[in-house]
Amino acid sequence: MNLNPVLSREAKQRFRSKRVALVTSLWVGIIGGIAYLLYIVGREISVNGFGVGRLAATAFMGRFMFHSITLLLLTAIILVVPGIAAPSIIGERERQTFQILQVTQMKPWQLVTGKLTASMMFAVVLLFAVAPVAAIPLLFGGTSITDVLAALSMLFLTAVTLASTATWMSSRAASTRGAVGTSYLIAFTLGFLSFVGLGAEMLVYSNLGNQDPFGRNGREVLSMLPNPYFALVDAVQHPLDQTALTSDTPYIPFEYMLRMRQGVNPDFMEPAILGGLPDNNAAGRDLPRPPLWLYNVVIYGALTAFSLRRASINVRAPSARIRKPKRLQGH
Amino acid sequence: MIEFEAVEKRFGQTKALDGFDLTVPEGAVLGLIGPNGAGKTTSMQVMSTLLGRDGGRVRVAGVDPADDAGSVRKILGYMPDFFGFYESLTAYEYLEFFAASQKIAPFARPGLISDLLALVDLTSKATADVNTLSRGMKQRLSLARSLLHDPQLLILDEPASGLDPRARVHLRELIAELSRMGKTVVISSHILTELEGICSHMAIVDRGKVVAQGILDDIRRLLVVSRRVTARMSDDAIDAVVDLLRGRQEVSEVAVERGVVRFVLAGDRAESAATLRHIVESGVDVSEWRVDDAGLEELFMQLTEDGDL
Repeated sequence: MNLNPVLSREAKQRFRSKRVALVTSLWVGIIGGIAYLLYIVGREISVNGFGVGRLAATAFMGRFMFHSITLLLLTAIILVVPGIAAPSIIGERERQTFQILQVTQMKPWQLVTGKLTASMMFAVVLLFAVAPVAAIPLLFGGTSITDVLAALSMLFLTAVTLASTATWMSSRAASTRGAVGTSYLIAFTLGFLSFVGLGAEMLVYSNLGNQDPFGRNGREVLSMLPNPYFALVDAVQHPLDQTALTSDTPYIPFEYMLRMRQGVNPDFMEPAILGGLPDNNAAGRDLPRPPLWLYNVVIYGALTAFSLRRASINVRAPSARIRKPKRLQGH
Repeated sequence: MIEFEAVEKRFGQTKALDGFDLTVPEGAVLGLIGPNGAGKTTSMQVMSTLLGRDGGRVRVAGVDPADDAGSVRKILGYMPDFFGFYESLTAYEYLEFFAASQKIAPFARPGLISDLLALVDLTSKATADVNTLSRGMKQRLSLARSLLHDPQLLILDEPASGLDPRARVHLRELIAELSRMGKTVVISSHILTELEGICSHMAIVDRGKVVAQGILDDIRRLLVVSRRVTARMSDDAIDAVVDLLRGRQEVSEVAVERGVVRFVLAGDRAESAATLRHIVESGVDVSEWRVDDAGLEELFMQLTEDGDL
């Protein structure tokens, strides 16, 4: 099988640079350090909160570390991936290599997927580099391999989606700065601004006199659907399938919201650490709505396909005009 | 090999190509000359499948590049008027990347790249970082890149710009070699003397139109070219000859310098012979009659307003 030439070249160029080794080492060091802090915090909480025995305490520690690390990695993906992918195509235009690529026998989609995979490659390397750190919680118990796979899948999906939208922005931008700016705008809208949207949604519906905006017979919570944090927690934790009401980990706020979305009364939700009881009202019952992660997969899949399609159109030749980067205008 | 018929291309209100007609025969080396903004690069981008058109008909090897760009790219080698290079790649790796992009089988690449590096005289620079190469070397590497898939048609946009004289000579030899290999070459330049030596055909472009095209001699013959004539005769016959010349419509700028009459004759060689016959028949002995044809630059200036040399 022939590797995509763009991917092959970029791999050669990128991994030849000393900066990659430096950045990767720094990244592993930071994640390792944070994991150690999480271990200390988790240990403190479990020692103070669990009187039921060592096994439960270590399981909680494992769960606490795993949940924290996944949220951390997701945040890192939102912060890092657009920055890696956004310069990809506009960089070729600025380097004046784009036209000579266009007249080769590579198809536009090969050019775009080459750029996308080249951008993803570094993100995947970073993800793999911290795999041993992320696997530590498995030693403590409290998490299963299916939890790990679910988390990795959602992280990967988010990374691919953000890289795809950044590649699209890169294909239409007039400057690297513009591509990076718009790519981060999309990433932050999905990752962070959707929380603001959620707040606004709650506020609006509370003021409209709807006492149960997220009730089982109420409306769908639209702002939650594209949010990668809710999707991650939903895919990993399946809040409504848990015997305890919440995990007592940094997943708590997301679990609350996810339960509210399914019509569970917040008054009945207590963290397990405070003696919460199994939520018999929710667990195993006929749920009014499909799981949120499923919506998220569909939305991200559609966004990825749309972005790659638009990027392929933007790099296609012959075109009506040659897109000239701002830096080269007037030359 | 290439046919343009009444091709139009607009960028907003600006007409980059305005009824552009061009024919490039197979195996020809055609020089595309014109001032800045005349439409040379735009026409080359249209024939290279990079740019669409707003009107007219284009055929490259019998195919419309707008309909089947893939087929055209298989036989096309394009070298733009700028260098596009990647950081941290050697000359060999640079060519290897483009060989892969041209879908050349991996086993065939090493031999092909070595041959091309030898052709452009860069074998000793195969492992050098591309960014450390001189401008002339980069230009030759760029030419090697455009030859990777053995295209029948080469489109070279201002390949000699910015090169030192030695590099220009080298490039000129390379293009001559490609011509001997039977390739059709379209080359644009402002450096008219460069093209005069290597092109079999010429097209002069101005304001989005081809104002003259054909083989070099045809262009000269087709046009009413001004020729500078120098005539020598005895001193006492000079005034009579001057009067005689001023009476002829095709003669202008008559001047006498140190016993020699110089003038500009509008017309071809037959016109020159008729003028000489007229003087001789008037009883003047002409001891010297020298006709200097207009050079390409003069032609260019004639054909293009505000010619940019």
